[in-house]
Amino acid sequence: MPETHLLVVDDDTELRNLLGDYLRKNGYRVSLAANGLEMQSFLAEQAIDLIVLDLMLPGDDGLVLCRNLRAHSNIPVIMLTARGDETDRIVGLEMGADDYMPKPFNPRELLARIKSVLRRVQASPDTPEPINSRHLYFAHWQLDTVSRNLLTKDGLVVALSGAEYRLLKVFLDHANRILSREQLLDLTLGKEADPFDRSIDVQISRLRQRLGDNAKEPVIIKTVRSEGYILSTEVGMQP
Amino acid sequence: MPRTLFGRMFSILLLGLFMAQAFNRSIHQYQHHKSAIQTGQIQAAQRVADLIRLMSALTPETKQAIAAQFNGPMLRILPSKPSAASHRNGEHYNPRIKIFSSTLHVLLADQPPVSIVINETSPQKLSLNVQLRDGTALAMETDLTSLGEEEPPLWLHHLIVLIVISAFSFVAVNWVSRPLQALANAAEELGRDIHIPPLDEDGGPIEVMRATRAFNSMQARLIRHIKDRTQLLAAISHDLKTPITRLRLRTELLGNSDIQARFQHDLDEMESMVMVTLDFMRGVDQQEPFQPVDMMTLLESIQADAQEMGGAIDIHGTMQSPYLGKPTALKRCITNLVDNALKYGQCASLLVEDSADCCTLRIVDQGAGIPSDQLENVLLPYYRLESSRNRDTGGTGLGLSIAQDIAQVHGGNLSLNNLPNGGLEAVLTLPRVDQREPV
Repeated sequence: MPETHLLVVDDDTELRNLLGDYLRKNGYRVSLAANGLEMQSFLAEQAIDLIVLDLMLPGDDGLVLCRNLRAHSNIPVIMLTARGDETDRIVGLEMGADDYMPKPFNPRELLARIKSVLRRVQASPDTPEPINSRHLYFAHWQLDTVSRNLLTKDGLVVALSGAEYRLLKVFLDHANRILSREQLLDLTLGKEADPFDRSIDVQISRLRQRLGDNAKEPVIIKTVRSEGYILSTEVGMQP
Repeated sequence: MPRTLFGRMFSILLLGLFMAQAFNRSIHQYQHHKSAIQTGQIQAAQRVADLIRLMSALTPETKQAIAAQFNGPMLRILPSKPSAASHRNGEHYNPRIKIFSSTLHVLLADQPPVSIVINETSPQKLSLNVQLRDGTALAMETDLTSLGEEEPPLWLHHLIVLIVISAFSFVAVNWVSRPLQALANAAEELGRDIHIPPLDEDGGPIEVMRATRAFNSMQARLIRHIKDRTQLLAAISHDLKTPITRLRLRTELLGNSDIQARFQHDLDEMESMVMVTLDFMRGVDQQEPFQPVDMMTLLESIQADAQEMGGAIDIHGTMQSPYLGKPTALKRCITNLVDNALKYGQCASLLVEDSADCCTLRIVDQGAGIPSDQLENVLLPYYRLESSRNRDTGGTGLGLSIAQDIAQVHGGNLSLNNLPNGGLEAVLTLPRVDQREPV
């Protein structure tokens, strides 16, 4: 299997070099670019698997670069920003970034996100991309991915715990696909699945309760016997 | 119309005074008029009484001669004719000539004639048919100097004056004080929301306009000042984020896992200080709309999050209806209080009380509480108790300040009490009244 090739685009030389060292240490092939022009020339010459793109760059900033890239390429992008504003996150996601890391980030978390994005792309190149939008609509619910709250049709805010949100987001990203307990554990917590771990079932029942889904006859999150669970509803950007 | 507050007040006083004077004058005239009527009637009665006395004392021949002489404008003797209404006893006189008749009665009390019949021939004239004691019938006519219409009673006058002047004062004083009222309201509102739209500087008296302009420019300066400070802090923390990120990467590249762990601990602390400070400086998100929030799910989500981190929270009570608030801010506020209870008080009980106009959350722990003289200070930004200054607890001293800010944005309040049996109680009151329209 060929080495995965990452491109780090950041104008801070020190940070760029450190990121390069760290990612190389974790088994990736890494190229470094200081700005959009260098990034373009790398992309023209080499096959890049994933771009770690800083939002604040001299010249064209990360958002512009990401939008231009999306016009002709599906290379996954993880956006780095120091602002941590929610608006950045919204705009970043809508410009086509696959994930978003606010600085200062934990390098291990960046590594986990890189792995998760790569796995998503490599494992299922044919399946539709998850929808990147602030508001996701499914069944009679609306999920605000920024405030991480559910909204009913009448606009009532129903709060979700962190675990409930992560689980729901995984289902929404993989709508109408069967997810095994192992996959769910891996996608929500990055944990290796323990065959006797029933914690995911507890979380599913909590989430069903939140969604008003009857545990005996669920319509939103259905149980697929001996396989796992499936979100059996359409997910869209509009109600 | 005068442009100054002084001018307006002065003209209102002047106008009020003038109106009162005018009314007084009309009352005076009314009374004067009334006394003129009385005098006219008394004088007429005097004349008639004198004549009756005179005629009674005369012989029939002289009566004729004298009667012919009484032909003046004020009193005339008419050719005698028998009275058709001779039975009338003169008791039920028209009230308008009450004074005349009663005076006549008194003047003739010692030798009253057999009968007197008074008829009002016109508003100014009375005709009298008198039968003297010697049997002579006498018809006469007298003029009343003035016999005006009966005026309404005095208290009605007073009432009308009172109502008219009160209404005038109400309208006028309201007109003068309205701009001031608006200014006072805006000043009050500014404490809650610095970003209220500036006041209208046109209209109102000059003094108020000047105060309004000063108020608006003060608000603008305050906003600029806050913005500058926020920008400064944002710039500093932005600049800190990159070195922290670099340090994190360097730490990961270190071989020694013991040192790595210690570095990571310090970095976590630095990061949380930077993030919380930024959070606090940004203040409660102005953009977040007020939305109806299912508070019970909010509390349960906080409970679940705490459970994930190993903290135990129990929830008692329930909410009757959704609360109109900023969901993310409310969650942060309650999370801060719960985190505090878990950190210093080992466990947290959430007691929910709900009513039509207020929902109250009590977060109770079983810790040592806070010295009573420090209860208010701990709500101040960056204030930490001596005992918790110890780095291991990792508090930033902003959690409670942020919680209080959020309570105030909702028109509510946060207060801390020590419980008699030990432990601290944080009381978060969130009024339902005066809530903003959902966006």
